[in-house]
Amino acid sequence: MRWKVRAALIVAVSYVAVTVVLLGTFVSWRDRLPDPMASHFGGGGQADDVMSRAAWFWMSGLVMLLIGAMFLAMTWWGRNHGSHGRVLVSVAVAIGVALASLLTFAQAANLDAASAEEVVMPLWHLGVGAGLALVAGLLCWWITGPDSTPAPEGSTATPEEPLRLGKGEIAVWTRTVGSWALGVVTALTVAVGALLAASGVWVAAVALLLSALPAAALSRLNVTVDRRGLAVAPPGLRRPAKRIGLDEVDTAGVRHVSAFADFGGWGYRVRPGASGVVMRSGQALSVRLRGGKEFVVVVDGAEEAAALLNGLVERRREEGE
Amino acid sequence: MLFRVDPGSSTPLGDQIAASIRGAIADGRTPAGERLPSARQLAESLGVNVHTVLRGYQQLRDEGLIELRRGRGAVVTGVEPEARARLSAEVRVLVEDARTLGLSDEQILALVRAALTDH
Repeated sequence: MRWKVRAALIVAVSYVAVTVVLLGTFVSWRDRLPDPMASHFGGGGQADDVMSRAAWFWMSGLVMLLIGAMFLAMTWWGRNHGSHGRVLVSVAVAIGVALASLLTFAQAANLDAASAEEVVMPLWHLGVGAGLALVAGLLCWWITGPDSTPAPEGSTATPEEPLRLGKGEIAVWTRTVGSWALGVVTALTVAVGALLAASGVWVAAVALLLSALPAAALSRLNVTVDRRGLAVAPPGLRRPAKRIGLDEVDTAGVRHVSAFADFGGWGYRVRPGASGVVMRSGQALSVRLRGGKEFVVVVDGAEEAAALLNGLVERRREEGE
Repeated sequence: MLFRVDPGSSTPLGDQIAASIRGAIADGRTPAGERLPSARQLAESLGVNVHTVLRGYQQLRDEGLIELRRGRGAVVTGVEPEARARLSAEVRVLVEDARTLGLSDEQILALVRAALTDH
């Protein structure tokens, strides 16, 4: 069986199994649980919040489903070379087991209680949950095994011919890159924030609107190649968010970047051996740094940028000799 | 968008900046609606004065290729910018040729007027 299929099956089966246990115990204990139930516990284990029985059922089911689906997507679509995938599967299963066992223990604490207020969850249950998670994680580490599939070759950049520059010639390349993903996030955050403000929930509204600021600031970026090197900056800001000097550049090229598969998401991403500003999937300027690492910026017209960067680096080396 | 200027050339820097943008519009690399870099940012990158960049931008605005709006910066305008940028470039070649022949402004205008009445 292919490694990826096996890994995805392990994640899916584990999540289904623990969710069946969690919801199964709920259904069989249903008549012995108080309504509302104690749903949150303080430092001493005393209940400090309650939730209706129906809400508890749907909430636990939904949490398990969403987290399970997220890890399944990361296992299937993520590019998990070497031991990354093995760690991902083990952590995913451990988190699933920890969550499901804590929720089940909370249900058990509610068992036969006359009212939610008197429910106490013994703290050692946390320890048991953590222990179960550890055992499940180690077991999955062992059965998943390392991924022996070789890394795909398509992830290397094609170097660009340097642009020939005259001795005193000044050349600048600049382009704006936008991100629909971050744009959508910003719009949604602002919409929910406005809705909360309209309904008078001020603290949450202000927090949401404030959190929309960085998303808005980063949904458009200027990418510039000039005599100083490569710079990535939000429009209107004087200091670039990321600058790579000409002296740090070895060569520049062009490659295709898939935001999710190559970098695990959008934004400023850091991976072993590579970092990048990934606003969307597509053609990217790829800079091989002197230290051997790679820096990528997803931007249209990257060939021109790479050619200019190589030209500037070459001219500086010739002048230095 | 790629800008290439040569401070050693006899052509003023503002004209060279305008020519870079005109070329990018003419060959379709910079379509209508595309925003040009802010004059301040471009001036910093090129290492020239902001007013030099603005002179180039104003030239393009006078040719009807870009719009300059306060706060929104310079944007390539919508009416067939590719063909119009090529036309602007041809007019500049015409003027240059006429100057090398030693024609005065009036003589050049008379030449163009004569061509206009025939059409």
